[in-house]
This record gives sequence, structure tokens and C-alpha cells, in this order.
Amino acid sequence: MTAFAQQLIYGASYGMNLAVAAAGLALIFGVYRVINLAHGQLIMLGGFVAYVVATQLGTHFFVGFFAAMIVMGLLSIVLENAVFRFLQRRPLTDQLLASLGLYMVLGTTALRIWGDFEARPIAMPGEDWALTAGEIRIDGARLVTIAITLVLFASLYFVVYRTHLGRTMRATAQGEETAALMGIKKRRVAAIVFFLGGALGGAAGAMLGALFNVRPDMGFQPLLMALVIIIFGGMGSIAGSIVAGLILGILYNLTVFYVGSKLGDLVPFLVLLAILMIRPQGLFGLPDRNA
Amino acid sequence: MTLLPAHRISLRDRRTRAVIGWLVLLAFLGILWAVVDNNYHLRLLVGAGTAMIAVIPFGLLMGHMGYLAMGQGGFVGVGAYVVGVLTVQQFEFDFWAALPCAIIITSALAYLLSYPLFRLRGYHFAIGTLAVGQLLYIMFDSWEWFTGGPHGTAGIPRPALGDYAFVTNQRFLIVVLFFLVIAAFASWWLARGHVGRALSAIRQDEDLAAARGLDVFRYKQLVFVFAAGFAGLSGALYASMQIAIDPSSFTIWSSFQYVIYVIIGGSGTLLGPAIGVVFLVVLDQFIQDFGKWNQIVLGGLIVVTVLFFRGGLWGGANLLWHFALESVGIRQIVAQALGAATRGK
Repeated sequence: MTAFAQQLIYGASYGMNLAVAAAGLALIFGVYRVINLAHGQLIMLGGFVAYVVATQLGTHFFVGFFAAMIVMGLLSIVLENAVFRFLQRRPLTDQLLASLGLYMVLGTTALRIWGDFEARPIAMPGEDWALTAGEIRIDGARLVTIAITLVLFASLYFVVYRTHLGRTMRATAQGEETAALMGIKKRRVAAIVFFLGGALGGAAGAMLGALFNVRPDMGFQPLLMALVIIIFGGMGSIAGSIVAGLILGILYNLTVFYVGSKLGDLVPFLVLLAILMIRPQGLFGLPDRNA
Repeated sequence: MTLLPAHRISLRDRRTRAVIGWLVLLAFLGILWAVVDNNYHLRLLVGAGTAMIAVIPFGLLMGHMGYLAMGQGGFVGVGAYVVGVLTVQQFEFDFWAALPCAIIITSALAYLLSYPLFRLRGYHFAIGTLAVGQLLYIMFDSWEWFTGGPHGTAGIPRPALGDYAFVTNQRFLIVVLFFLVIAAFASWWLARGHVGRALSAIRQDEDLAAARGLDVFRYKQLVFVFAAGFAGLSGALYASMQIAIDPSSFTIWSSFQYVIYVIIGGSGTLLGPAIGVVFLVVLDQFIQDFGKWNQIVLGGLIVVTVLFFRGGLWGGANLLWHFALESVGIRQIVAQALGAATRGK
């Protein structure tokens, strides 16, 4: 039972990390209608930015964390300006393929620079203490990541639902041309959405890099998980990302713990197939003819 | 010669041109087989031919029908593992007995999967097939007692006909080319008739096609099973070509590889995907000097192709050809030559 409770909380913290990654993907998809496979590499590069700033330059974790968010946000804007803006009216296969190309370019660049697969840790507040209640023992770092993700989601909610900026984003999501006719500058909205999406990816990367290690191939699994999460939660829904991320993270951890790590890898795909069969629009999504 | 009655022999006739095109292609493949004697080049040809057997039918699914399937590597893997398991790992089948099993099992799997998968469209379909591909990969990797797990299966035989064993690359190329011609011909035959028109209707507006009475699902299922069957065949040949297989050949990257062949060669055409295979195999020889940077070249190439050359290499060649026809005046030259020829006859 204690092991179960412990795995539950570890799963929740992993799931929250994935939810942050997925929220970036969901935000971009919700407003801009692009699934950005390169998001996986933004997660990975975010981890490396945090590693360079926090570990190599010897600053505090949070300096590296915010550096990762800002750098990945800016990189994401660059990608939008260089590639995705030209593909908005194209069939979805084009967008997926272009982002796949970007995924390969970014991934190989990182592999060339940090391809020795050395252990690259990031020091994190809370690593030296643990919460013990009875026999349950929870690393402080896990609790810190849960706290960070809660703050991130609260801020994201505030931005999207309580500010003028968020209103312009939601208006663009509902109808880009109508929004443009109302005086909303769509290029600016696109830049902000991609900045926020990339920053969330960078944040997820910094946290995953701190919990595990930073590696050039660390973006792949979170990307697959994030894809599953945004479909599970409903395309473009932020609330859906949180709920789906939690469920998936917990299921994953429990399966790995009780059944085996290889079958744990099966979990996201079995969940995905089940969701696609039973409720293709996801938990919080609306049926969409073109989705 | 009921195929081509004498009075129809004219270059303007569609059927004549098709027959001539196929004869030229067969002659080209025959000459290629006879001319190449460098073992390394033969090896490349065998690999490219094996990939084409999977890619040309896959082009129907992705290019003609517009359904981006991102798990085709899984079906190729099923074909390879059926052969691996039947000939070495669990049983001792002959290669020729295992080959049809590979095709049948892969097709049956695709038939069953088509029911759930074609409830999905667009992004959902792409990600659903991605999940299937990854599930199959995990199965190859972890079903240890049956597939050999991460170490894979070794000692898969090459086929033989009587005393003639297709052991060398030059001989094995005959088998590959034989099946390649079948794959290309079957795809061409499907694409030119009512199936091809149905696929293009599905790509353009599926709801409209359904509303006009087209049984959309049957066509989608047909093409999905068709592509998977040839993926299984390609996998079976791949297993025999490699002698040993392991799960690392059937990851998600191998699935992406097929998508990349189609997009770079030219989606929506029959020869385009094959040209994509040739181009990437040749490119691979040149950019090997860059070491591991070649993925960057490849990724950049995909982005550039998607952004600027939507038709891929085939579309680009077509543009050039029409430019040559119109502005340089080749059309007049050809017309004069043809006119002279017909008058002469």
C-alpha cells in the first residue's frame, strides 16, 4: 500500500511534467491548428539550456529554468516565422512533415554537440530533503516540480482566460479571419502563442532534465506522451491536458512498477487506441469534422 | 495480340503509351540487372528495390488518398518477423512457404486494424497509426521467446528454386525485381481504374464522396490492406536480404522513412515514391562523408520540399519537361517527327 501511494505521487509528478509539455502543444494546436512534432526537441533543448545555465555556469536552478523557457519561446517564434506561417492553408500532412523535418534537424544538431551521452545532471531545490509520512517517502524534488507545474498552469489560465491577450488568442482560435477583421493582429497572436508554447516545452524539459538527466534523445518519449495527452484531453484543451497528463503519468508509473518497464511503454499507446475508438474527440473536446 | 490491336498503335493512344512505358521500364530493369556487377552497388539495388515494394503501394495510401499513415514500418516488421519466426526462430519452413504467410498475416492484421483506424481522420489517423507502429515495435522487442527480443533472429535463408539458390546479391536481385514489377503493376492497375478515381475523390472531399454514394470505407480499407500486404512482402524480402533482423530496423524512424520517400519523390504519383527511394539512396552515399550530420541534410530537405516543391522530385521534373515542351519548342519538333513517321507508314 505504501509502495502504491508512493508510485501514485511519483506518477502524478511525472504526469504533471508531461502535462506542461502537452499544454504547449495543445495551445499551439488550439489557436494555430498545427501539430508541432518539433516540440519534442524544444523539450530536449530546454533541458540543455537549463543544464548549460544552471550547471555549467553554476547559477541557481530557477535561473536555468527561466532561461530555458525564454530561449525555447524565442526559438519557437523563429520556427513559426521560418516555416509554419507558410503552411497555414496547407493540408495537415504538410504541416506534420515540415515539423518532422525540423525535429530531425534540431535533434541531430543536439546529438552532434552533446552526443557523448554523459550523465548531465541539473541540481534542483529539494533534492536534499524528503517528505516522510509513515513509510511513504517522497523526494523533495518531486514536490517542487509539482509546485512549479501548478504555478505554470495557474499563470497559463490567468493569461488565457483573464487578460486581453488571452481573449485575442481565444478569438483567433474560434475564427482567425473574423478575429483579424475585429482588429486583432494575427501575426502578433501567432508569435505570442508560439512563444508560450515553446516556453512551456522548455519548462517541461528543464524539469525532466532535473528529475532524470539531460540527454539528446530525451525529447522523444515526452513528445509521444504529449501527443497522446492532447488527444486524450481533447485537441487544444488546456484543462484536458492536465487531467489526461495526470491519468497517463500515474498509469505509466504504476505499470512500470508492477508489471515491467517495457509494458509501461505500451500504456500510452493502448490508452490512445482506446480513446480514439471510444471518444475520438477526447475528454474535453468537441466533435470536429476536420480534426 | 488482343492487348494492342494494330489499328490502335499510335503514340496518342493512352493504352499504347502505357504498354510502351511498361516495356521501357522492364527493359531498363533488365539492363540494370545485366550491367551492374559491383557487389556493393548490387547490394544497394537490392535494398532500394525492397524499399520500393513497400513504398509504391504506400504512395497510393498517402499520396493518392491523402491519409498520412505513420506506422508502415510496423507492417514491414510483421512481414520480416513472420519469415524470421517461420523459417528459423520457431519452425523450419521453406522461404517460399513463409513468404505467402507473411503477406497473408500482414494483410489480415491490416484488415482487422482498418475497422478501428478508419474511424479516424487527419491528425487522429496519423497519430493512431503512429501508435500502432510503436505497439508493433514494442511487441518485436519484448515478446522475447517468440521473436528473439532485442537480439532478433539470425540465419534467415535466401530463397532457392530447385538447384538455383538466390544466394548472391546478383541472384537475389532477380527475386526483388520480380516482386517490384508486380508491386508497381498492381499499384498502377489499381490507380488507373475506378479505385484511383475513388481515392482522389476521398482526398479532395471525403464527405462529398460519401454523400454521392461512394462506399468510402471499402475503398479506404482496400488500399490500406493492399499497402500493408506489400509492406509485408517487402519485410519478408528484407529479412531474407539481411539474413538477420532485429527490432531496431522497425522503429518509428523506419515508418517516417517511408513517408519521407513519398514526400521527396512526389506524392500522388506512382513513380514519385520510387524516385524518392533512388534519390535518398544516392544522396545517402554522398552525405555519408558528413558523418552523422546527414540527418540534418535530410530534415532540411524535407522542410524545403514541403515549403517550396510540393510536387517533390517528380513534380519538379514534370514542370521542367513542360517548360521544355512549351518554350523550347520540343512539342513542335516531336509533332513534326511523329507526323512524318505516320505519313511514312
